[in-house]
Amino acid sequence: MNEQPPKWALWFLEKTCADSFLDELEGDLLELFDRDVAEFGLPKARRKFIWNTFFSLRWYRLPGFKHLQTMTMYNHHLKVAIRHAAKYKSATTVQFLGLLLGIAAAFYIGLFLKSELAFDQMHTQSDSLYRVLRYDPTSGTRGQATSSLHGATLKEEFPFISVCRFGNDPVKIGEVKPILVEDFFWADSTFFELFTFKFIHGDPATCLDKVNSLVITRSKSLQLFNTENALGKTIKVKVYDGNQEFIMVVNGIVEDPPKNSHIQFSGLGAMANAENLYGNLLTQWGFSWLRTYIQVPDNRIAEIEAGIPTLLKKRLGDDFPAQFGMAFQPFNKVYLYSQDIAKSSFAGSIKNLTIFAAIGILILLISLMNYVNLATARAVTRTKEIGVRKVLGSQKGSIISQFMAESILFMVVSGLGAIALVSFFLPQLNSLVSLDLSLGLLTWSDWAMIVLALISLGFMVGILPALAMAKLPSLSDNNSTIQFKVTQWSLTRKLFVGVQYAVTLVLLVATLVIYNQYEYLKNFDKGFDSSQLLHLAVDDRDVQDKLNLLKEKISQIPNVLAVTATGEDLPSALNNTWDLNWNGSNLKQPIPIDIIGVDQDYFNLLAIDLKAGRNFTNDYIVDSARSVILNEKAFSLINKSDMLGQQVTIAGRARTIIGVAEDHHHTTLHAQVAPTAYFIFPSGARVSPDNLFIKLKTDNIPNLLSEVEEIWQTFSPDPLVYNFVDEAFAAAYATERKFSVLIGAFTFLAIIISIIGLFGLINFVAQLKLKEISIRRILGATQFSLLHLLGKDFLKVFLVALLIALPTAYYFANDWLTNYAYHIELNGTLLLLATFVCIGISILVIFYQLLRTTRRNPSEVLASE
Amino acid sequence: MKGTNLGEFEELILLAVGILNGEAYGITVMDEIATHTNRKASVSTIHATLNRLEKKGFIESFKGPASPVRGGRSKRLYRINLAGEQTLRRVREQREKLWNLMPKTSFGYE
Repeated sequence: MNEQPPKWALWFLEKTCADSFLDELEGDLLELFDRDVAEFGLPKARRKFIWNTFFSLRWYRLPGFKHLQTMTMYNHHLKVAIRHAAKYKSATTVQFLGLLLGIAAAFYIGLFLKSELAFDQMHTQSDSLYRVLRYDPTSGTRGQATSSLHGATLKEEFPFISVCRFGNDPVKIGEVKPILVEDFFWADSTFFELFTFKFIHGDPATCLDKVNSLVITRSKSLQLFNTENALGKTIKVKVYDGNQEFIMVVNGIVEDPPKNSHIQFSGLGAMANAENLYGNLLTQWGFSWLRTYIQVPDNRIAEIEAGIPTLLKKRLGDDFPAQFGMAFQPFNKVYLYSQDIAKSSFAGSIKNLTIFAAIGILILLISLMNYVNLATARAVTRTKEIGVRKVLGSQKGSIISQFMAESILFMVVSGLGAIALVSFFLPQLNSLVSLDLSLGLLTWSDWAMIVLALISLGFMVGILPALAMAKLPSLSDNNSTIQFKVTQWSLTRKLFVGVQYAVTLVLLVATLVIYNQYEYLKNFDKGFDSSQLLHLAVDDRDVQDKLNLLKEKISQIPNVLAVTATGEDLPSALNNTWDLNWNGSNLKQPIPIDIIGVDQDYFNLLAIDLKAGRNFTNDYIVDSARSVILNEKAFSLINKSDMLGQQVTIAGRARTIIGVAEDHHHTTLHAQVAPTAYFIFPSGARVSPDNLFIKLKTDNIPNLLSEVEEIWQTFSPDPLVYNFVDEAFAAAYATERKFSVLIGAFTFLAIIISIIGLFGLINFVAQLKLKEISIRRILGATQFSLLHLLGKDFLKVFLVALLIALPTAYYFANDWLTNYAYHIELNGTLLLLATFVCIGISILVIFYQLLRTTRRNPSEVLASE
Repeated sequence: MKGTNLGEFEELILLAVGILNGEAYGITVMDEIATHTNRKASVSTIHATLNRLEKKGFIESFKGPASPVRGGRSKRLYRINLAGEQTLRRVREQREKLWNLMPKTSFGYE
């Protein structure tokens, strides 16, 4: 016969089918093949043969399973493992709990990392998107605000890219009762080409093409029109900063942007409207009011970066300022790598992620070491089992594989338990640290990875105990049970306990440092009195014009001590930075100085002392536009003692220094006090007062608030927006709070795991030394001397761990603290405290075990021989 | 010990083995099932079921002669035994008893 089935298929069949079945199966398949050749021809018959071969794979026919004794052995091992675990319940629980907590911590941290790394990943083109940054090559500083020209020029010079500009402008939308929409943006028509947001109604490609096009989110549509589909409806949009109005048409409804996107908006207007609005301003490179994103096909970003100097030279002339440059940040790095970029306040930071990843690995590590320690120690309880096995002829290999299987089983069970635990407490964990994590973040491949990781971890931690077990002597070896090696304090065990101590110590120091720093920030003397200080935001231009009247009305409320109007909230990012210079300064570049519009009550109300000179007078004409009060920092820059009463130039205008105010913090303590100038400004300018601070002295705050609200309603239809300044400062440290809570929680977990491990080990040591302790007690040993007997080995290990852990902790804590302009000084107290906590807990655990041991009558122990 | 219940497919195969009367092996059983019940089952499925039936003790197997048609491989032939036949009869009796108990109205056409 010439027609043959594929050789390799036959080979496969022979390898996967036990001999006893091979004749039957192969014969039948070959017969079928001959029949198929006659009916369908050779190629199809061969294909059918291959198909049949693969689908003939059957469990019962696999050659490996012809030795059914192996299966019986596995079943037996499993049974023994379960029985043994059930027999020593407390030891099993301790071992299980340690692993469970360790894996749970690592799993939760993994989930957190996964969610942080998934930020901004919803856009299908995110790999080819870049954010255009202003970049100062002389100082290396970057900023996200760009001018309209940045995007336009890039598109002209590099026609192959797509550009989308995205500029914020708070607007009021609606006819009768307009709603203030803060997150409204003017956007280029390319917006939905670059970014992937879920469209509900309208055409993403053309929805921002024409003047007066409007795209809103689903929730805004419900709020404004009471329907999800407001497509085609027209509505009045009033620009907040310019008093200009547009009648705009809803051309699209999108799903609200997901929380994990850094591009957030609830309304988009066509860029064409902004062009009408700002006119000539948009042709200035300095008018940085928007963000620019580009999409670069085929990885051609290097080409663009290389072309930037030529582009700038061409557009700005040969002697364009050296500080002027452009940089491109990959879109995927915007969330995690923007700590240095001014005005981008994301919580994400690659540094924190690294810290958490390290903590997760450390906790997992100590819980694994814990397991290994305890499992090795438990070998002593299985001497008889192993002995019998060896007498019956069990090889080392088979004993090793038995205990490996046990470890893997243990690991998988506690891993699944840990995942169940985390998912059960996820809502509480989320609210504790204000995160939004869910198991839905994990894909099938992640789950497969987790199971694989658990199995391989089980493998890794199983090796040491399995080897220890395999080394146990057989029962025929008479008195060797007394002296076999596992019961001694081996080097590995000392190492493991030492590492546990070291990790716990480092985490403890970290927690103390972070907590102290947070408390320090919260309670720091900001240089002004923030108690009972109410802040009102006055966003309405009309009310701003009548601010003095409003101020006067409010100050007449009983229990209101004073009211002041100012251009900046507290805390504030200080968004208005102008130039300062003076005669004879010899400065090439003027000094940047922050501007705050205030009134004459400002310094009094905030209890800021004037170090020299005088306050503003009540009479506007005297001080407006001519006078300035500098803070100490700004005044010291001038460095001439007789400058009081002299003139300086601020933003090109001469002003007389009439006073010097004490330094105080406007921003959070991440930054130092900046040079600041205080002006009196009429309403209508960017820096004019748009906030009121009200100093109260009352126990009945709700009552007072309602009085303020009553007055407010006679001025404005908007709801009253208020907050307390001390609360606002505390909230500004939310990241620190979250960080300290998380680190604290994980440290707590690490300590629990270490205690569990210590508990198990001491238990084991006490069991071993039971007779020794009993004899000593009969001879009159004190509790203290017994404590010393049990604890001296631990103490030695602890001291070594201390020597390694404290310098490490000191180094990292110092490094972390340098992130803050104002930070606590690291001193010995914190380190000492951590040491005492560790040693204290250890002594307690040892003492507890000792009490348990000595409760038994020594004669009972000794009689059992 | 395997259960002694007979599955639906097992029953068909057992019947086929009985019909073939000593000539039953993978392919003949497959053909028998295909011609009489219009069901397509792969050889492997037939093998697995035959194996199960043998474990349950309803059929016995013996080695048939090798033939050049099958690449020199011998057949494993199956034969129904007493337990198998009794089980088949029991199943049939049970069915008929149940059929006799069925009232006509239960189809709901009348």
